[in-house]
Amino acid sequence: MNAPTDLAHPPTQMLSERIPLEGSGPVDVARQRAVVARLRGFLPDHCVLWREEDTRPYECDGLTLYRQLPMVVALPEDESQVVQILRACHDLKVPVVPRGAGTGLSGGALPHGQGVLLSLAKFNRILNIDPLARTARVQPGVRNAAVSETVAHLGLYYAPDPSSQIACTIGGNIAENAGGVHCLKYGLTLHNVLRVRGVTIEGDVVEIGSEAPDSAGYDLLPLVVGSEGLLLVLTEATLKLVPKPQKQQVVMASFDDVEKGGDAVAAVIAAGIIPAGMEMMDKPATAAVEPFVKAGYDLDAAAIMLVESDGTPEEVTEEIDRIRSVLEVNGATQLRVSQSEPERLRFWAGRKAAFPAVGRISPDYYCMDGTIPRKRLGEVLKAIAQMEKKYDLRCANVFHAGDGNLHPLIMFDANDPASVVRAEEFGFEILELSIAVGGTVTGEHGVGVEKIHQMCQQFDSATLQAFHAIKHAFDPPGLLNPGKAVPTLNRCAEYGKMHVHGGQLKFPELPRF
Amino acid sequence: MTEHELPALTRLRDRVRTASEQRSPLRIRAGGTKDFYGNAVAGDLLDPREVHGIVDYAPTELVVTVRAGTPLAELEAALAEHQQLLPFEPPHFGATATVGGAVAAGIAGPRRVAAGSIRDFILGARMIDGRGDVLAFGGRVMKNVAGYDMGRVLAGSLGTLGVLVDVSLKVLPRPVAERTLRFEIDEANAIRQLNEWGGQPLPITASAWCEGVLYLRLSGARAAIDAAQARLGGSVVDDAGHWWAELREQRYSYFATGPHRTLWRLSVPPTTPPLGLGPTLIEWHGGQRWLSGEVDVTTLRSKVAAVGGHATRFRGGDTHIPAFHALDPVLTRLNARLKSEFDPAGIFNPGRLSPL
Repeated sequence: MNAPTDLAHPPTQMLSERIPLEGSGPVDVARQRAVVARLRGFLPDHCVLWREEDTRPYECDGLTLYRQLPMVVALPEDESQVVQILRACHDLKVPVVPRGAGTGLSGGALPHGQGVLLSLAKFNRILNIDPLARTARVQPGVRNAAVSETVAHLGLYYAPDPSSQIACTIGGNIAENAGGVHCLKYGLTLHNVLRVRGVTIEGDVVEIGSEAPDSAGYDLLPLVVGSEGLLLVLTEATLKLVPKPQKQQVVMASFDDVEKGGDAVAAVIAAGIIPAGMEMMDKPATAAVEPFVKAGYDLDAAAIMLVESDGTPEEVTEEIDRIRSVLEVNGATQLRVSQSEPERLRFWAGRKAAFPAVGRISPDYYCMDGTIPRKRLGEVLKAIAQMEKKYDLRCANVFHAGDGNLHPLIMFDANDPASVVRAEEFGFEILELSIAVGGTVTGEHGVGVEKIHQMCQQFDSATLQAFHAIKHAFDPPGLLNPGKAVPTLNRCAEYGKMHVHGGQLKFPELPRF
Repeated sequence: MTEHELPALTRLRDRVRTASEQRSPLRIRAGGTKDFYGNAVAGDLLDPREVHGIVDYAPTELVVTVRAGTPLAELEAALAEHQQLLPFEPPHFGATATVGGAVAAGIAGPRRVAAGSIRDFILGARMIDGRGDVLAFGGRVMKNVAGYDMGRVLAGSLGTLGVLVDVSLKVLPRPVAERTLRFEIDEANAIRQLNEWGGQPLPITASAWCEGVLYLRLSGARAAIDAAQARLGGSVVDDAGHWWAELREQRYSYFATGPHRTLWRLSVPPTTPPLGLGPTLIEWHGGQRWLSGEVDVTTLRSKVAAVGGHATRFRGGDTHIPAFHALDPVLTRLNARLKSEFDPAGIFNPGRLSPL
């Protein structure tokens, strides 16, 4: 979902020159045979795939620009099999890449060419719902939306709602610390997961977190949540469920200038309001979605904003009034308040369809994911407009305005190799700008393989080394999802050579090869 | 880092480097308001309060970056000027409490049940590791999944992983209105009732039960509080702000300790029925329970572990009893490895979290 449109002939050759894929090159057949034999010792035949026609579906995740066949795919059916697979891989020193639904947008589940792709697809059961404790104990292959659907009759739901929620899995959400449109008020995945159970590369089962408010020892949950499959293979999680609000209502506002829109966002916060959702779309984005969705967006506006309030009917009425008056004072040129549930959903439909709508007007698009301090929004959008000219590519912007998470959608044509390169460079310049204004290269999609080089710019070498130390504490041989999320210092040094920034090499203290 | 390093920070780093070279332990202590918490530590005093002050506060970004040595009261006063607060309502336990101490202790107040713990609000942190390097985790924005979220792990680490330099925290607006209701109800029914209310869209932001009386705090829009009160009943408590602050600071006689009186903190799944271990004060809808008096530690810990919780010797009592629950072998190994990666010479607060 929300994935770039599938490319018939992906230019991986070109990309692999920039980011070398892990374990690329021909498969070591003898090794493949040995690994398959070992796995078939405890897994049923249908749970071990190695023929190309069987492994092909696993060659990429939602970031289809990068593809590679795994050496072997393993599909365990229970935790004891996960333990055995990891022990086997640990013994044979085989890299392991965990995978959920494969909807990730940063290549986190991109296979290792000489490794085992460990699919948790068969771990798709909801194990227990405790209505009084408001918790759900689930396996990692359960779809995000399935949790809320299952507990809807109890008046509860699971708050994190990444836009791919009908397909993406809880395990993937935990790996990426997935967000959504309601994070400002309801938090990220981390804030909605109480406990995880998983298996270390050494084959030990471990429980991190607790159904109690906290647990003894270091709080390791913030490391595991968002670890992109580098620390543990999850087998179970306890999720927090929250009461469904009685009422939701949304204000749709138009602005004749995106910067004014950004200021209005700050004004809402300054008034002491934490809306359930606060989203902005610029003119290219509304122009793309309106013919598609007919949400009734103001096409003359430079930007439109959706601000949602939820809670008890009394709270919502009071809050909507306050939001309206703040937006009016702050230069909204048009204001509409949803008067019914179908109208509220229609206002949102355009925002939710923004990615596919852009997919309709451009053969391909590349979705970026930087987070910036909100006060820098105006200047960042202006810079992106300049980049459109520089790279001769169009870009539509959708923005989780409440928490500063920007999703520029760069439109290109994958059949034109030059446009692919320009799209990538355009994207990387946005990421570098996000860092420069005090933000981050990824708000919710993860680093994966995609943003690995930009990590060299966002973090200094001591901190990158500390990331490797954390990885080492959990995975001493470095076999879990190697090459993702955290760049090696050598890679940063090489990248620094390619990409001299501000006249200064990154990591001048490192030896050059 | 392009900014010039504070001389005070350079001095701290030098202290850490020297201690590391000499393998001589450091006892990190600022205001000393939480000296009672955790196991005893021997080592040379390292007072990090020279590194203090608010670095950046943008109320409309809902983010404050503050140096660890800043008094907690100073930070809260700065937030109050903009009608904002620290949502985890940290206890001070004394006028000299610092931000760094609050992070290291990781203790939250009554609002924890609705808002979350201190780790939930840490967006980024800088710390000095055991090599004297400054590491910068996370950032100053709400949503950030680049790199491991190590800043959050510092919450509750009791200074055993490094010396906190500064921290970026998400802050929230102060509620427009608050009201506290009082109910007479027994322990078992209070626990059940609180969890039932927790599953309903009610603006409850704190709960406390003791000796047959339940206190419930409502926060938010006035209309929402009126509606909730009409639904819940109970009687209104006057001057309740003070009441909750006294509870948070543990100034009630219930919390008094002595050589023969230990204050135990039990963290259990909130729906756990009464444990029958003695008179109990319950917070966080049943998730945090205080037990004061003399109990057999083995019975207590095994009973609490059996329901999926853990028990902390919070204040007072026999200092030979480990303050914290023992971990299973796999977690013990992961904790030990993480500690040795950050503090290879073992100089930071040795033993404070787990006895040597």
